[in-house]
Amino acid sequence: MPDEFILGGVSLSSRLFIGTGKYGDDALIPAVASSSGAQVITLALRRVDFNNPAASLISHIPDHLRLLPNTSGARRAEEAVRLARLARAAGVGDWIKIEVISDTRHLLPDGYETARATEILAKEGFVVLPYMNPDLYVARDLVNAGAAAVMPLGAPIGSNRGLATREMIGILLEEISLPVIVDAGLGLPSQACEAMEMGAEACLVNTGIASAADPVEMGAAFGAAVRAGRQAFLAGPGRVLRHGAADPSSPQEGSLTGFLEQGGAETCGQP
Amino acid sequence: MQENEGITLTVNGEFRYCSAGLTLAAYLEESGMPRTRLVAEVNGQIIKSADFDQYILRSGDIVEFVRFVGGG
Repeated sequence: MPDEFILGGVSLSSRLFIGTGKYGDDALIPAVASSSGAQVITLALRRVDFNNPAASLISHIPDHLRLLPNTSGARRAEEAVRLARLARAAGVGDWIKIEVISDTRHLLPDGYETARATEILAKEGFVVLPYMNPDLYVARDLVNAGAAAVMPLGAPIGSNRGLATREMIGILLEEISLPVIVDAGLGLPSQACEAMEMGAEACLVNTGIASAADPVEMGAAFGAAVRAGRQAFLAGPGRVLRHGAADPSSPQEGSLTGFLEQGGAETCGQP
Repeated sequence: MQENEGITLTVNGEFRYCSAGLTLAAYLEESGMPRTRLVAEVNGQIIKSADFDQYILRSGDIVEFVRFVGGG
């Protein structure tokens, strides 16, 4: 049976979402989309630059990808709502990644404002995917507000620091019924793989791929890691022993060494 | 107001003059800006690209033109 991820009524076969920020050259994006196998791609809304009319990100995004605009730049719920409505009016569908951030140093999301924006937009028919701190109570608020998934950060945006919030994400995976999509901070494929092994439904990676020396190869590596992590999760990882304990992988009985020690060698040879 | 009289607008936060009777579509065309996947907001009201031909700019309008850029 194929392992599908149903999100917002859409069946996805790839569990890696990618971003479009920070590429030295946006023309790399189609190759990264292809190498990573991603089916969902994020983008941001900004004022048109009249000094640079030719620049068009959209022209670099392959048609088969589902667009996931974000509300980056919003500091309050109302600003996120405004950006979401503009994005939908621009004709990219009704998926929206809520980002409400007023802390410019750590770029940590504001849980209260995020939940407020989620509630308004879910009622307007958006498929709302809120970027959030992996806090159980915020996650519960987002469930009640009508989110389609929760997107906890692994580490601060753009930091490539990996699953710094591992324990907190583990709690969300245990307690929250919505899909958990780990977003932000994943800098290496092994970190995305670990998130998937833990039971995350998907990962979103932008900087980890875009800032690599070879984004196309790194996209392929992240794609493989997310698939491997998902496969391991479905396979059911074995138990973890407490610190200091061990359990031999080979049988204890019938050891040749023990056999020799018991004087077996004397009866083994010719008399 | 005379047809050829100029009007003043705020476009993307900047003060602009343009001729009266200009539509959003014409404004973009004069600026050399393609309208694909663009969306506008005039005085807080969203206007889709398909309706850019219908809206005639008026003096004092506060206009925002936005489009997609790279983001995570």
